[in-house]
Amino acid sequence: MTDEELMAAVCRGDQSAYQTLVSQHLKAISHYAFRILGSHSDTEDIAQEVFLKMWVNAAQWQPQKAKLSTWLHRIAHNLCIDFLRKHKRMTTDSEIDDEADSEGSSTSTQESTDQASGDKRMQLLLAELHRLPEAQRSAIMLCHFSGFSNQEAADIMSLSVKALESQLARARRSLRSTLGETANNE
Amino acid sequence: MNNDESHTASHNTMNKQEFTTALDTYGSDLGSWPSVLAAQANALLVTDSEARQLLAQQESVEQLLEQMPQPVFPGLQNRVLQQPLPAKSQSWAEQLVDWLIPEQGFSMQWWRPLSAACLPMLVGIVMSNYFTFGVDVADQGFQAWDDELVMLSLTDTSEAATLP
Repeated sequence: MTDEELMAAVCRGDQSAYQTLVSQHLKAISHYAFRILGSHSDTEDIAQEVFLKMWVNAAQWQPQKAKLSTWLHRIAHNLCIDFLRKHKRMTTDSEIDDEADSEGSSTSTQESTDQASGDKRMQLLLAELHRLPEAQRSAIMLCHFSGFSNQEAADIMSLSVKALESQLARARRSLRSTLGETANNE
Repeated sequence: MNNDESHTASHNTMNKQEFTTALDTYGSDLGSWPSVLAAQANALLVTDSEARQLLAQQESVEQLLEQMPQPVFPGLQNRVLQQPLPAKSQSWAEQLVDWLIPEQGFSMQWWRPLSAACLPMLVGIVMSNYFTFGVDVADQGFQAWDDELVMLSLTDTSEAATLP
């Protein structure tokens, strides 16, 4: 069944259609939310709310205006922004460390110096990503990970394409600068 | 993007600053750049080693981004599926439309609208069976119609035709 048929069924209260949509979109939504929030528990709360909103507001989705994945990411983006504003915080350093530690533990058996260097660069990348302003981080996540076009990412973030490209440019420059310096130092 | 193309199309070449700006905006995949900018960038890359280095750095960052580990959320799907969902309340009109024109079932898509279309005729037959709507078969005037027809059949109209 297509997204349109599934959403029509959700509008009628069909829970099996809801289950199908959750299984199709949960992974992408939770990954995106995690990259914005940086916390597993907050991400799970947001993902749960995204699909609750999908159930309640299914009739508001207009397939001729946006793909379902775009619409769901927009809901997730708005919830993440609201969450960050409400809690008046961005990702804490401890959470970055948690993630970095998990990276390290998963590759601790690797003794190659290249691997160690790669791990260091990865940790640096994660830390730098978390240091980016939310808008820049969202832009990078949507365009690099979620595979959205600039136009779709701009729609999700309620920005013009120009503004999105500006955010993307700043984020890329910042990441390249940080990782480039590290490479030069090594 | 079109503005960019028209703007930069007026230049035949791209300098390093313009290359850096485009690289920041569109990323390291020159295939995703506007065609005019991509052509100019390719020309610059042939001659400028700094531009090549910059492109290599950007490619390295993007490779690293692609290698980022995916977070795992065990139990999240069950949690989302098991959350209580509010009941859907449809209006009677929506329910009627859903019944009349079902999304699935080829036969139901035909017989339901047809039966709905036949409904006024059935109602008419039933009502006319029970109600006279002012027409009373026992009415004297109605009986007089029979008499009138008998008299009409006995009337000799040939005389009128033969009179001079």
